[in-house]
Amino acid sequence: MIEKIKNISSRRIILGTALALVALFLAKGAFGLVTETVARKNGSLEYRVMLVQDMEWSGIENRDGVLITTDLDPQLATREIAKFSSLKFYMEYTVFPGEMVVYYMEPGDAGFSANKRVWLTPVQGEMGWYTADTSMKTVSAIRIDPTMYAGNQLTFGDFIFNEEKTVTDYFEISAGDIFNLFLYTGIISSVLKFLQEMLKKEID
Amino acid sequence: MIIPLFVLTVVLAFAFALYALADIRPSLTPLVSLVTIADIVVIFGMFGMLYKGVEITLIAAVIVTSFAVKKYKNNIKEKLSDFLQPGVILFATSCLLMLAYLSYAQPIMHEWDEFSFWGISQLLIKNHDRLYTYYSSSMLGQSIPPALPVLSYIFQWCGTRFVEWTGFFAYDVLMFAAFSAFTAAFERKSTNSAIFVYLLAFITPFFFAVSEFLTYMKPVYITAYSDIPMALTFAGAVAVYFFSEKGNENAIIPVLPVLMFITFTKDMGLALGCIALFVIFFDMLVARENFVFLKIKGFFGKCFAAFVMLMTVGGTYFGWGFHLGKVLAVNRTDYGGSSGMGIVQMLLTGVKELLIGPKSDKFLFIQDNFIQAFSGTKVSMIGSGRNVVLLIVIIFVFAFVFGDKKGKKRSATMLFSTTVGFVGYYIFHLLLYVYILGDEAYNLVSYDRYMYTYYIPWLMMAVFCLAMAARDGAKFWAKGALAGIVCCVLLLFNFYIIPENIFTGVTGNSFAIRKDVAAKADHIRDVIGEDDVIFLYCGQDDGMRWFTYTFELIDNYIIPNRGFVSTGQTEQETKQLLQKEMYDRFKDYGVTHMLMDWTSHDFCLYFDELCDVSTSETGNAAVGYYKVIYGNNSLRFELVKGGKVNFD
Repeated sequence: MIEKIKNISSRRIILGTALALVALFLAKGAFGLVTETVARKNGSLEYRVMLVQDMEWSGIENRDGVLITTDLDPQLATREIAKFSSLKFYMEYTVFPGEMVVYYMEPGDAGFSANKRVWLTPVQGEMGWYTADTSMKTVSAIRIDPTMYAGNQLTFGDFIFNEEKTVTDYFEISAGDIFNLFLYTGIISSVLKFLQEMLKKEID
Repeated sequence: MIIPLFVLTVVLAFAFALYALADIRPSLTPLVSLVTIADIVVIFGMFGMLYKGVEITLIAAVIVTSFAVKKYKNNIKEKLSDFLQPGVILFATSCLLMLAYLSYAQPIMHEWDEFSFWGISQLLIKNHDRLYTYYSSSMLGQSIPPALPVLSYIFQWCGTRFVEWTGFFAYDVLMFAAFSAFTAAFERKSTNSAIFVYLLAFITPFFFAVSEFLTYMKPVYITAYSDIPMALTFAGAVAVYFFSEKGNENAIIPVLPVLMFITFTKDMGLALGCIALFVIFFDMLVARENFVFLKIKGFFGKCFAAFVMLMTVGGTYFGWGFHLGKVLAVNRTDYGGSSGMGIVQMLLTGVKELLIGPKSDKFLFIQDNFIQAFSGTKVSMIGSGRNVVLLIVIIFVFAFVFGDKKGKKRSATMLFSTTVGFVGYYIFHLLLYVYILGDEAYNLVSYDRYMYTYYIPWLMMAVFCLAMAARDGAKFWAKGALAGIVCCVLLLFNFYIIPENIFTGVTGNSFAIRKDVAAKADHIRDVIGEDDVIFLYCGQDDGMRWFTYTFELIDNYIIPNRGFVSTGQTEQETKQLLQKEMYDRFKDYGVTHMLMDWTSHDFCLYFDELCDVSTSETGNAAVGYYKVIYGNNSLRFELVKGGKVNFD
């Protein structure tokens, strides 16, 4: 066995690492698919449609039925979602909203934090719809930052939480995934090669 | 995509020629090749021959390569095989991947200083095929050296229009070439160690550039900012010398174009060039035995080599200064700023005040802040500068402990010289904050950005020493330490950067202001004359929109609004005073048109009566372009074109 390991070529190590990472990616997708399907069946992951009136506001004022942002960090929040896997909502605006973010707070967290957030992006081909996807998380609160500008008149439609995903959604490849594939293949295969050299005692 | 690919091919071909003809280590050649080409083009540009300069330089590079191929035609395969060391392969692969990604994602410039200088200068050079010193525009910083904008130009010189992502790509090629140089300790049998160093170098900028955006990948490789490319080129200059095996001019001459490029990058490049020179000279003095430079042996040879490097840095600095004096009638050494001092006067006054006193209140305040910032201001994923320095010292200690006899000497020497360099760099910045910056100096604005310009190359220089130990010393331990450091940095990288968010910053809504301004500019572009001098009014602007308009309406002067300051006893008196003030200002600048980007309550109150169509109809998602009609001490605005703009 050890002799076999000693004789694995560098190419095989790189290829093996890359394939292992791809397998890991697929396993992660499959895990997401299975856990979310189970959670949906037992009711813990709930499809939920909310309106803006159902949420807590901050930095937004209702002026005669028109919602206007009053500072640079307007927020909408809800504590009615227990498990969170995706959000899709409709919004019209008068000023381009800039960066749009969803924060999630997990049970035990003191508050929302910068390393628990997902960026909202426009839905291709569906004007006015924005979406954010993540792996399923148990949450105590969700906060939406819909714009980074004051004086923006916003008109919201439905907020759809945890919409059912298609199977391919779980295996969607992003530019970040490709970047990670190269980065981790390079580093992990180099570490493995180092360990192999150690085993072969090629390093004094 | 074809032009950048062609230029990249020429850079690689010339790199091969440098390896074959000048016997430079293969992994060092991409950097030397790229900066040599860029330096020559900059010099052509200084004589008003930018377009021809690129053509001549690229043709010359191809001719030299052909000569090298012809010379080694009998063993060209062998030569090529020797050339393709891990650094070169990693360089070429990264460039091709980045080229594919950028041409697919087509990111645009959207950060503050991309519109104040670093991006707009690229646009100006491309539009005019000349350096920006040869004509006037709304761009600030006309005296800043042109290496990076020219590098961007080289990669698209014969394109029909300016392509922003090609500018990002040019920067990336420079940085990847520096990474290649960092791996030069390793040949193919140690590919995994080369990969460690290359990927560590790739991640290191993120390790520092996270203070503002902790959880998504700040576009380190998709930006026109100069700090990180300059920092990496600085480390590249030291790498080109450090990894050269030769104890003669072969170790020094390839460094010269890199030093030249650093000095041509930014005013701070002079300081970094001098520090690189000092680090190299100190290493020569202590660790290089039997050194011969242009047939001069020993100590005098080393001094002569240092003198040649100094002449290169100084010559570049004063050469650009001479160009500025000739073309713009500007004195390069005059930094100006809040105290109106030249650089020499600033250094003399500052060092005297620092060492002898008496110190002004501003000096004492900023000095205290600087001392506290070293241990209190977060500049990296591991915290303050103190933590970063500790990490760097630990890597040097590893390199010292695991290095061979020569490696120990070089590690200790490098630690000493780079520490001295850091102290000098820190004091230089203290003086810049005291004498050059205005009120923003009290808050140490951009402190982290200025500091990581030194921390990044310093960390890499420590890694150079560890890489040498992994090659020549206690290989197992040194390689293990190298692998351990890479894994630790990667863990931190993972902790701070959520995979889902990687690259979102350049594909999502980050371009909001840019898109909005671009749409408004496009809406009125057909009615803007080439001689129009445009007053921009934007009620909610912090300067960003003005900068962005100067980029979008590059061929016109854009005069920013400075706010309304006059107040009278009554509203009517205030109105009269402000209208008079505006009249005088418009006359001074020769304003012909007003661009109403975003109206305000104050503007409506004091100036709306001067407009034939109320500005309240313009603003959010709508724009107005007015012609200025001068009367006797009065103004009127006639709407030329306006209306709603859809910028989604």
